Amino acid sequence: MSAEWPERSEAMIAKKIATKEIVLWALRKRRPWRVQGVSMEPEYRAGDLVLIDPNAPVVAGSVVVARHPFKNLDVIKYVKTVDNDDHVVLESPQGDDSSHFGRVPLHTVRGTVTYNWKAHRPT
Amino acid sequence: MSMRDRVQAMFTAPVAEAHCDGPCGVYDPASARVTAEAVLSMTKKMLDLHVPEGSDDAAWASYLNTMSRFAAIKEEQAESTKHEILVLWTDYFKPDHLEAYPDLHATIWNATKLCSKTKQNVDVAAAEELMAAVETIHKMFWESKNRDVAWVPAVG
Repeated sequence: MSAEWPERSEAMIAKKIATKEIVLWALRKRRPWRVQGVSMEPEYRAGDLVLIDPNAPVVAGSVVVARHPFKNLDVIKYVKTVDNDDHVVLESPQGDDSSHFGRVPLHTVRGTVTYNWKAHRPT
Repeated sequence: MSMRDRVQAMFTAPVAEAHCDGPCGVYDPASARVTAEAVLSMTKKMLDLHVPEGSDDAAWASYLNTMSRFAAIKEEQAESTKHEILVLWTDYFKPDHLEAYPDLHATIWNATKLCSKTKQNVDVAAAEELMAAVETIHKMFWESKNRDVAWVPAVG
């Protein structure tokens, strides 16, 4: 009956979310991407396995995987703003935001990150 | 590493780049060092692998499988080494570095050529030369940042 139960409950919620997300992944409602690079640290680090929901609405503040507008690669970034003409501005905590490649069309967003299965963090 | 981490690492997934698209300034010759070490290690493993005696099909299949994997990894790691070196060259090093290191271009050229040589051949000497070339780049790189970073290969 103690001060420790809220902590345990938080861990339980996290576990439940993880289980739910992995089940959704098994049902192909989620797609995995592997993080590479440091621009999303500290929350997302190289080696982390993120699951994305291709059908989730894109909202400011969420994390998305998107096609780079002119390179053949996918990027992981925070959504800074969603404009009403179906464009988004993306940013990274450790890097430049997308101001140098401009706003990107909403359809370049592959999906919203719903879960981060973090890689081993050396202590 | 826990079992959970091992399972996490097992899944294959496309890469989501968390690299800054602009110059983020995060460069480290350590990535070239790690891949060059892998080239050296694979070269040695290929030379250490013995041809099976006799004509046992399973033994030959296993031998060829192992040998092909070693060759494929060597190829891939040498290519990565080349890429990592070229990124430092094109993105990190600036014209003023060239004044401090007039042999920068030659060093890079030599190092990337060694990447090709280690792919084409099973040559321990070339792989060791490649390690030495990466070490030279490591020294130039950290010296140019006025930092003293020790050269510590993963394999002692």
